[in-house]
Amino acid sequence: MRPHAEEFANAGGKLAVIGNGWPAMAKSWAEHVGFPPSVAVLTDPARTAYDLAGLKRSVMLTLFNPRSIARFVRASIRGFRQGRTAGDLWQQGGALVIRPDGKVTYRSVSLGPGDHPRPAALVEALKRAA
Amino acid sequence: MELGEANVKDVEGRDVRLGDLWRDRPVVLVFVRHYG
Repeated sequence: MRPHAEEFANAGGKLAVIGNGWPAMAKSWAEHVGFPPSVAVLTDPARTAYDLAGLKRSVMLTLFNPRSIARFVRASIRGFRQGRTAGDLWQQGGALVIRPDGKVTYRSVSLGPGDHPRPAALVEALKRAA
Repeated sequence: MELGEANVKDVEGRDVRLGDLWRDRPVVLVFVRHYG
């Protein structure tokens, strides 16, 4: 997502990235990734926002999802290696686009590791909301 | 509770009301599974 960070600002909006560990974990990760100042890096240790956003938390989706296993194999073949992680291992992710009036105009709910929208799809959704 | 009323934390541990993020312009909220 970081290589596309400026595209969100250029599309008339803002990118915010939310994780679920402690603030120190978020800070360390944000410094490692190198997000520009325009990106808000936040954390939700209680996962309240995850729940309100309708995202899923599941051991089964994390470990035994056939599509995620296939994505893991493909990523491994390409040389990607998962490093150490911090946060809730069973929590799934997702993405929303929200207009200033509070209306959610785009929602993606992850069904397992590697299941996330393409950055270009998010930029397009943001342009439509702007 | 609405999503916009939820409080999260910034990297310094300060409270951030989510609704403030989209008060002036649309926002893409990306929820990551975990850090790393």
